[in-house]
Amino acid sequence: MTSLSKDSAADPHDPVDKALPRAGRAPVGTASAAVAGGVAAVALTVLGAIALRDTAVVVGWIQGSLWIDATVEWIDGLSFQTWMIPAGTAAVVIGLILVIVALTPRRTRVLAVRATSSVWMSTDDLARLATAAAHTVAGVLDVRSDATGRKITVTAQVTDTDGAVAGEIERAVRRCVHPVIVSDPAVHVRIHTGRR
Amino acid sequence: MTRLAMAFDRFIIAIFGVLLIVIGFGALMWNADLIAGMPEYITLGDSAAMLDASWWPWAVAAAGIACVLLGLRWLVAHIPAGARRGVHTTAHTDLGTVELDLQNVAEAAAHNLADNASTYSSNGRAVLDRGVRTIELEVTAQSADDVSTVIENIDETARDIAVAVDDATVAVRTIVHMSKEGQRSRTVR
Repeated sequence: MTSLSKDSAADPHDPVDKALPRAGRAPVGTASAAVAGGVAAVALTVLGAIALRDTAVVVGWIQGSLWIDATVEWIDGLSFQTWMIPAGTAAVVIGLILVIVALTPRRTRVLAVRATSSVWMSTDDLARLATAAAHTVAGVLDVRSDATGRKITVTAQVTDTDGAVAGEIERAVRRCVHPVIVSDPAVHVRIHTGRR
Repeated sequence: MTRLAMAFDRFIIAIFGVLLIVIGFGALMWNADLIAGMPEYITLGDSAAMLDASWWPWAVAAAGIACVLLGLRWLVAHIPAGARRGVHTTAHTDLGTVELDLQNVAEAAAHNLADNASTYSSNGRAVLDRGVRTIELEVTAQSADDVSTVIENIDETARDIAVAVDDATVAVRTIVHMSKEGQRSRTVR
């Protein structure tokens, strides 16, 4: 495996003067429209395969009925039937979902990290960081954390509902998160008494 | 996946969605007597006669081939461009052209980061991100105490990559994770 040299003496560039690379953009998740597009591409391929199967039947390569012709004949002369009410409702709902999916932008679930290069942390990992920080406070038995781009919610099980514990947890989380995350999210602490 | 492929997906999905809404709404309104002039039967009229035409099977065959080819091409468009063609940078010297596979650089950078005691694990890959050749590193810190050290190492590694690649158009980004083993709570989400 190739390796990047860490030996500054062998490096023609002084580490202090090394330029930073171009900053990569914030990672974004896969768009739901891409997933739906993939499914539609498979459906189109299957539709084509059905057409080729019908052609094989006409040519005599395989035995069977013509599915596309049967579908056209079924549609011709079709009248209202009660199953069309649930089917129509489902079609409207699925259609609305598809329109929403098509218009929804790709979500970014990462926060910028205080670093000189382009570094990011997901909200899930930010929650883990907050949990680890809360665990350092005396009297904390168990912790669960949730994080969004703007807020960290820490729910702690503590030995005593002394109001000071909540403040200590908040300060511990801030001390841990502030040097790492650029946006400095708000910290909310909920405490419950309990035993492990 | 290119922006064009993404836009195509959105366009087709939106059209298909609107089509479903119209068909579904039509089915619901068919027997509701709310819209005047709704037919009692669907009639294809002379169009149904084309099933008996001699050219019909060949039209179906042509449409089938077109659907399969378009469907496969559409599927291929969903494979990340970097995975299909690889991500390279090229330098021209007096001796010829040098092509550097950025995947190797990404793996080497991840290997260097993994050597540090603060790092639980790391991996690297080269991707085409919205048209920009990007070396993407993912680094997992051993614990919350190690995050600052990991970030310092990431910055140093990013500078090493810039020197190694020597191409200002190649971007680098890193995603920092927290090790699940480095935290004490079992219920963290």
